[in-house]
Amino acid sequence: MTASGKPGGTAKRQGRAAEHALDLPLRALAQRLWQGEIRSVDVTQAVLDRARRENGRLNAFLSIDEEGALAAARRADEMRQSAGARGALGGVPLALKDLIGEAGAPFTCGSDLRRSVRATADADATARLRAAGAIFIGRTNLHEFAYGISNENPHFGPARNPWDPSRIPGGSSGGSAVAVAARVVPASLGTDTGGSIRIPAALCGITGLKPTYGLVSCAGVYPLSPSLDHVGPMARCVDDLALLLEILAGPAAVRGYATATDLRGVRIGLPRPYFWEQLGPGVGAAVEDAARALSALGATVRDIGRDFGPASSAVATAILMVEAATAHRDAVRAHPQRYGDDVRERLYVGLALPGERYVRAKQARRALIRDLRRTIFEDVDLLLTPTTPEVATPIGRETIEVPGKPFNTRAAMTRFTNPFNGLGFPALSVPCGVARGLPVGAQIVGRPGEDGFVLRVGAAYERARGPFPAPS
Amino acid sequence: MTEWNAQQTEAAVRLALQRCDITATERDVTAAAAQLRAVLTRLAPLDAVAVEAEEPIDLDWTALR
Repeated sequence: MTASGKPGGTAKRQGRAAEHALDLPLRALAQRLWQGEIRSVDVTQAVLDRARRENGRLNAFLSIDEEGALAAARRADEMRQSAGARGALGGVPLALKDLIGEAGAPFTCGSDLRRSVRATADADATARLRAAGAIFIGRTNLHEFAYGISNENPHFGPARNPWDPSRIPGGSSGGSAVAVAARVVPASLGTDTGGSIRIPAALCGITGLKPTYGLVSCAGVYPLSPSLDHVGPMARCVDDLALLLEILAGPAAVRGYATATDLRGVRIGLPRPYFWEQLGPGVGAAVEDAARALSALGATVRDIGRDFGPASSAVATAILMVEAATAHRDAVRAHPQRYGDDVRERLYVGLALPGERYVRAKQARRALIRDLRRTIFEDVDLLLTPTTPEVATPIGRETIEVPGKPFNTRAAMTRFTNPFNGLGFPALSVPCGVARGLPVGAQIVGRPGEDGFVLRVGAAYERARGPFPAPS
Repeated sequence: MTEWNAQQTEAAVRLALQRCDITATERDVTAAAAQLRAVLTRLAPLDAVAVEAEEPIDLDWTALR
């Protein structure tokens, strides 16, 4: 019985409030839960309802744990009412890429070989979120073993872009991006070895951070290329990335983060060669708008003529291909046909690459990091580039034309992101516009360890930009 | 590094697969060889990076932060 005397009235109101809560940013949702304005069990039920409804259309989740999530939500509500014990994410539903271990949950890595595998322990990142009170509602779709950017998974079906389900969401953390963009969860975790957080964030119109290499533990995450692998947050706004990064890596990780919009004294470089070339229609204009907005906030924006892109990208490509092939050698020998064609071929290429290329790449990486820190990053504090050269492409398209010239989709889409996996610098993707009805992402790159500063500038830009539209 | 032709890349793929005791289809070998050639081209900029002979391959990432 409700206060108004109508049975179920309170439950209905709570249900509506919970449904409305799905549109809130993570920090605001956590605050409402913390203040007891809404119950975790209602929010979690609304999340599960939406996840099931959207999954038929978008295939963001490989599995949904309704029972476990609701039980955890009830516990979170009980704890709040009784002991007042709650972490920064007490009762907030989140989603994890199915490459990141979650004790007892499916751990397929998007592979046919691992359909029945379950994680025996939480990954470090999972454990940190769980300790902060997060609830995990499901395992998100990904490119097989995170080795690709389209999320066209031959075993579990493609994840689909909520802006246009005939198009890729990007990958490999495609399901994590879709779940956030489609307002199923306020945030998720992804992994990024060549752009796998930033690319889907850009193509789906959300934010994503590849932190400084090593800042967030990869323990308990299925490896693709240990020299390049990163775990990072994906959310609908930069402020939520900062909240998650602090939980994942501690307060020092967000040193320099603030919500001030005054960017006077901040020096931003636009590395014109390579990173601003061969762009699809409307992509460059959207990122130029972002540069103008940053300038209007007080930042000094200038062009950089030095071309470090091809060498940095080559570093990442050589390391990735050899390390991934090494990691999968025994499995692909035993079960070659249980790998998707694209992944299997790439593994074969990695096995055939000369060892000299790998060693050379590792040496070049050291030399480039040293050189860029002493040169470009002496003159500027941040770099601004498009995250991808093109908006989301149709599912099944292996080549794109930018502009007028055909490129392999995977190679094209990673060309602005994978250099910073090799260099280890923190890199943020933030939505900056819409081209041909699809989102465009801007990438902000900082010095190693200055993740908080990157987030600060990203948040300032975001406030100047105003609300970014949701997919219809 | 000298550019490899189609025959050399195909031979490299066959040898690598043989060395790892992997039985691949002809289609896979052909596709991997074509891709290897493209990848080797993309890796050519590595040779333009000034690297000292004694440059180590490991990095102290903690010192970078």
